[in-house]
Amino acid sequence: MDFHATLGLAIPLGLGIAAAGCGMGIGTAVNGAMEAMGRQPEALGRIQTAMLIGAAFIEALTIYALVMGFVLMGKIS
Amino acid sequence: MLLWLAEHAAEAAAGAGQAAHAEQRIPELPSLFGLAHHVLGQYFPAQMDTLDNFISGLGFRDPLGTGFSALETVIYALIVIILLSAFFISGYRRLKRGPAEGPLSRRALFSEIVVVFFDDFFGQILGRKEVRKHLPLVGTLFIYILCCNTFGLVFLGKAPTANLSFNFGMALLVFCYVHVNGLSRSPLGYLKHYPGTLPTVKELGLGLLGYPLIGFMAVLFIIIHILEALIQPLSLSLRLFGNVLGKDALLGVFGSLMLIGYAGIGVCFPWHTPFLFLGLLLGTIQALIFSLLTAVYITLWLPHEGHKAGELSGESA
Repeated sequence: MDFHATLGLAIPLGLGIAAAGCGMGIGTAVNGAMEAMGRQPEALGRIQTAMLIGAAFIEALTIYALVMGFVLMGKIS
Repeated sequence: MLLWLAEHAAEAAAGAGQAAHAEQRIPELPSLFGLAHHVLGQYFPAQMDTLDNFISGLGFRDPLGTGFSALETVIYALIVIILLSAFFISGYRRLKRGPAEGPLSRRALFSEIVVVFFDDFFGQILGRKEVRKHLPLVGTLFIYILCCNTFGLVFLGKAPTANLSFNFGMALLVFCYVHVNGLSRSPLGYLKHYPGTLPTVKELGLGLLGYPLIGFMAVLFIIIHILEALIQPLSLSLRLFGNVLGKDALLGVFGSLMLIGYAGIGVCFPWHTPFLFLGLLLGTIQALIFSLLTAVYITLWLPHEGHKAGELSGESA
């Protein structure tokens, strides 16, 4: 199995695994935010901002995998 | 005429405005200068080659791109700078002259709203005493990155933030600012950040064995904190770069669908429209994250008493 085939298998798989993990993480974060918003609707704006900021941190981890995909994409073929 | 333009746009998009390398390039929507470069390159190849060599010689860098796309980045960044400066400086001047000359213009009012909003928003993180000192950097970062991201959505525009070197430059600026700021307040307080909060030997309760253990923990913490300090600019730049480049690539792929429709199938619909709105949202969020993290890092590296270990120092995402 030469390295083109391995790269072609590994990059999308790695991205998928990263996306799965980050999806679960963001789901947990947003779950907590939703509960907090339900308990105290006055703090809606602040909770929403904090939720978005936390989601962007977690999303960054998937983006790192995507960037690796872009970098390695040229090496296939 | 339109057909000719569409064909060239397709070639420019598929090749990301270049024709020299054999590797596959990341697709993106054609930008004005990339299109011009591609079109002129077919009619005047010698001159365009000279231009490309000149640009590479100048040292503009665009990893994942070509020398010319690095020049595009700089051109669009300059356009953003000129537009933003003109807008906000004229607003500031109008505000300084005061309401005596009649009702304030919309530019002046908008500038004031923006600055007051940032003052409030970042005051929550930096504290009221510090925010005036650091507001220029943090507020400018937010507005600048927001406008740069939005340029990638405009027709015939390219986002300067889609260039890793560009983002890394901003992150390096933030890194230097944060550390010089912390050092200038008090060098000892700055250096105390590195070992962190260690338990005293008595608390460990292990007697004489506590000393080498504390020493070991101190060395470990110092290494971890140095790594954390180095990772911060890297993660800042990569996060912004990945988001904007991913959005551009998405727009490019869906935009090229439009041209396929034009060629034969007849389904010529701008499929990338919903992603324009997504790109707007993500661009705003990323600009917010960058500037917010800058404010957080400034606060972290200031000397402060009652430093709780792990309070925010585990945040190297």
